[in-house]
Amino acid sequence: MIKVEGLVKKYNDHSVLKGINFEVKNNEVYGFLGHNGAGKSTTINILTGLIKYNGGNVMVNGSVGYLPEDPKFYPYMTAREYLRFIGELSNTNKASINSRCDELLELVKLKNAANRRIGGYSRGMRQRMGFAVALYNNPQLLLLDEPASALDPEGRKDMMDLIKGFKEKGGTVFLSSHILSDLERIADRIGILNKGQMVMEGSLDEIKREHLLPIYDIEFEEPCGEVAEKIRVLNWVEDVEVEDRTMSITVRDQQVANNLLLRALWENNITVVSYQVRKSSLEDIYMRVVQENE
Amino acid sequence: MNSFKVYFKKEIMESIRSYRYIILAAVFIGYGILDPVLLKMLPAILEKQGDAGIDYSQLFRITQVSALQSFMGNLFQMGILVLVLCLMGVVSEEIKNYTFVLPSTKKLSFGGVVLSKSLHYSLLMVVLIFSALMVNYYYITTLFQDDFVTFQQVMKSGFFISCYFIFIINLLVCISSFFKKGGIVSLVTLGISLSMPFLSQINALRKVLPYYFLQRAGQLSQPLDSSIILPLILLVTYIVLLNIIAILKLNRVELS
Repeated sequence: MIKVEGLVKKYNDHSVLKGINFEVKNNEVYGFLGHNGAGKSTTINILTGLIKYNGGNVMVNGSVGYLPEDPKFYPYMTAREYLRFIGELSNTNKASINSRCDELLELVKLKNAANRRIGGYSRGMRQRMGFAVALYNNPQLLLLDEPASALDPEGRKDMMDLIKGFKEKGGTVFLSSHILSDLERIADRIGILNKGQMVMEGSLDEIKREHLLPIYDIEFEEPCGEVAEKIRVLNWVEDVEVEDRTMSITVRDQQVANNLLLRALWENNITVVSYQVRKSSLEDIYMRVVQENE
Repeated sequence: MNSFKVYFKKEIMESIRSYRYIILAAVFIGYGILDPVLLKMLPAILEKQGDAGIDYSQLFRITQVSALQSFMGNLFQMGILVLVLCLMGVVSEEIKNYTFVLPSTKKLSFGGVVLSKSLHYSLLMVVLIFSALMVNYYYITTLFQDDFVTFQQVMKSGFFISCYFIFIINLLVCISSFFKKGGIVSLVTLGISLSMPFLSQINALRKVLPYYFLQRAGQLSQPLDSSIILPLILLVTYIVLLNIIAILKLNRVELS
């Protein structure tokens, strides 16, 4: 559905995208991760054709619906008028415009505010309105730039449900976000962009299998700063985080850690209050990958 | 064609809801009423302020022709200023506020956008200018007696003034597609329109500049003859070129 090869975008001498590659397959939700300024919005704007690029190949197949991070409307129009405007612009026949407007306003839960001017909408309402506009022409591909960034938890859940629903009907979604828990819930594949370069790409399962490292959360009876320094230098330890009396140890090999961690703590003569193993989340993987590429 | 129709409707809605029609009508038609009334009252006002014994009505001999010419002169200065300030963001605000982004993902044609804006405001100007002139004509013929002006002469002047203002509208739309800041748009447009009276002093440029239409508007006794054909052809050429430049610019601009 989307194929991007060696994409380069420069603003004067500053390279925003430094030759990124990725592919989005039909009927999948592709999560595009990266912190602010990584180049996510630039990539989406290139995919929509709103901005030009300096090098590489971009191929987008099928009809596209686009939702910018902060969608802008004519503030003097009501939601219904704006959807009618979009319908007429898309050359939809007059009879079906009204029914499509009602259907979309219902879907994004704006029916009660349909006759209010958009200028008076909250940012969350504008984002839902933008989603309705993106869906207007029944696109095959949705390009969503931070679609839930202005929504409250309930709104975010609704948005994720809408995206899931779109996928279930056969649609493809390219979704940029920095809300990792949302991506973890709905994305089939993930691409991580850092400083204009793709630092990781793959299915969520693949990424978790390859990069998911176990974390040991241990609580001690007394502050553990000194012990943490001794643990950190062990060659099977990836990272150690300390907060007063608790220590989170990311290990490279769970088998080795199971055999050696408790012994190492015992040798340091410190009393353990609680001890549990948890699997790292996408957030942990993301933070680690970004740090490795700093 | 679809974008043209949709954006034409949108421009009407925008002009109603942002009170553009009311502001422009108040200025143009209001001035059409105020100008002759003030001219009529001027001697009386000066008499109260100035030396006793001077007959100011003899000093300011205002006829129907001079009253109409005074109005047209003021319309040039005041009308352009208000028009430019009202419409300086006609395209630039849309680029600056990213309001083209969503429509551009739904088969938006910038050709339709530019033409709809140019035609909508050109038609508005024609309606306002003729309305203002008709109102002005009524007051002039009621308040002043000498040097009669015929309705036909007023309509002929209305045609010339409309030609000039149509050029200004198209110039404004074109310049507005180049800059994001309305202030710069208004400065450039005002700069061009205010430099035309000076440039038209050069004989070779007189008929080439659209300001010629304003000069012709003031020449009430001169009939509508073939001398107007060349300036009209040039005006149409300028309008076509300004629209093409605006469309090309908008097609190249990065909207996001």
